Formats: sequence, C-alpha cells, structure tokens
Amino acid sequence: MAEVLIVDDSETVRKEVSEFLAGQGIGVATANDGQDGLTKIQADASLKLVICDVNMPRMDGLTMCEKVRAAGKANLPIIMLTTESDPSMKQRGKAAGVKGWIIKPFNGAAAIGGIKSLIGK
Amino acid sequence: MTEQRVSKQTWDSLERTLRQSLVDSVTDVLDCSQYDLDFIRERDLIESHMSRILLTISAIHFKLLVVLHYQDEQLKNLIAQNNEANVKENNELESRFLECGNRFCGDVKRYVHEGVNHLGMSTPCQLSKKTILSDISDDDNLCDVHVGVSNVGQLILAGSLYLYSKTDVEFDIPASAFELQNNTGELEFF
Repeated sequence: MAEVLIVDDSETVRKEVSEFLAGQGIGVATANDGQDGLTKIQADASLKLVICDVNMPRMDGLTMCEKVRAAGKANLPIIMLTTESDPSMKQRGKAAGVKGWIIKPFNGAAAIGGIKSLIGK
Repeated sequence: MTEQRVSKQTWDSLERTLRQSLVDSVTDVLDCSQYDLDFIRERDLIESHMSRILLTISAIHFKLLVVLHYQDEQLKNLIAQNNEANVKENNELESRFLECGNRFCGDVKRYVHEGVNHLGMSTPCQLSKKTILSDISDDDNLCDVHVGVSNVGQLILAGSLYLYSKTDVEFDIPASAFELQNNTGELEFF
C-alpha cells in the first residue's frame, strides 16, 4: 500500500526518492507530472503524503496542489521538492496549502524525520 | 566567447555563478575537485562533440540560456569507476543529466536572483546531437561564458551561460552570495 506519492518528471529523482523511502519501510507510488499526480491522488485514499516537484510539463506542482485542495483534500500534506527557492514561489506554495519545501537535491537523512512525522511513523 | 558587451561587474557575476553552479549541481555524478576545471572558449566546445541539456532563465529585460555539455561514453566509464552505481544504458545517463541540468539551472537562478528580481526557469530539454552551438547565437547575444571539466586533457563536462538582451544588462551578484550556507536538501516546514 502506497503511503507516499512522489510526483516528478525526472525518472532519476523518482527513483532516488523512492529507493530511499522504500529502504525506510515506507510504501511508495510515483507520478510523472502534476496531471498524473492529481489522477493518482484522487484514486488512492491510502496516501498520507505527497512529495512534488514544481516545474513539470502538462501541470506544474503548485497548480496540482491548488486542484487537490479544490477537490476537497484539505488535510493531505504536500511537500515541494524543487530547485526553486524564490520567496514568491514559496509564498504561492503556502497560499496553495503546501506543508513544506525542500530545495533539490533530495537529502534523505535531512528530510526523513519530517517525512515520518507527517505520515505518523 | 563572443565579444564582451557587458560591464566587468556583470561579467564577473556570470563567471562566479557559472563556476559555482556547475560544481554544486553535478556532485552526485562527478566530483569536480578530482578533475581540471577552467574557463574555456566556446570554440573548445564547438570542436568537442558532446551531448547537451538546454534550459532557459527569463527575466523582464534579458534571457539566459543555460547549457550543460557532457561526453556520454567517458562519463559512463568514470561514473562506473567512481561510484558503485553503474550506468549501463545511455537513457539512464541522459535521465541523470537532465536532472543535473535542472539543478544546474536552479542554482544559476538562485544566484542571479541575488541581483535580479522576477526570474522564471524552464524545464530541461535534451538537444539533438545535430544541434551546433552557433544555432543558439543571434544578434541579441551580449556575452557567453563557459567552464569546462577535463580528465587528462580531455573535456568531459562543461557548462555555458549565454546572455541575451536587446538592451544593456547590468547586475551585480555580491561575492557574499556564494559564501552563504547551502541549505539544499533540508525540509523547511511552513
């Protein structure tokens, strides 16, 4: 059962984050872009956390977050994992209901405490 | 390198940004400190047939093209030697370099943001090997800077910044911006 959904257009990032979380005993699913992520979030009620890139084709991560909130999933935590560090972008994330922000590259050791607390492990 | 049409301050800012961003963004593929890293001329890149990732940073008055160049076979071998992870397929190397290009451009944007507001960046694009660098030059090209990473005299990796504008561009990225504590990878809660 997937607890965390990783949404990123980079196969390398999906693989890197998935392998790390799976090694921590966390169930993982992946999506290739915001549109794919939105579809999977709506179809899977077991998800406890979404880790999502910002800049992606078809649908960007912040738009996906806004659509998730508009679809009534107010309590599903979403963390952005992105190269973006612009304060205005973070501000838009906060307004869209983003719970946290990680500037790439992903550092599992630095992030795992926060991730586990968000999924109740 | 084209004729320099920007101030020394802007030029220096671009050079520092390029060098620092390149070194930081490829660390999980290549430890640049083990190789020779130098500013090079565009001609050196033209003469070297490399794979290329292209991204764009857009500001209100200018555009920056960010290019990551890499030698497929040499890098596959070096990665296999230096890391336990083996890169067997070209598409796996391409995927890793697409993400390196993304980080490279993200780092460039982060540094340039210290001197310029309102920046946007594209997603990475793999250029066809038929693309030649002169294809991306035009009359609006104010300057370009290039850093190469060489292994025993052979260029294996490089980064380029091409600055384009129809008007003069002036910005200064303070040296202190490059000394800031790197907080990448940490989870910041809102």
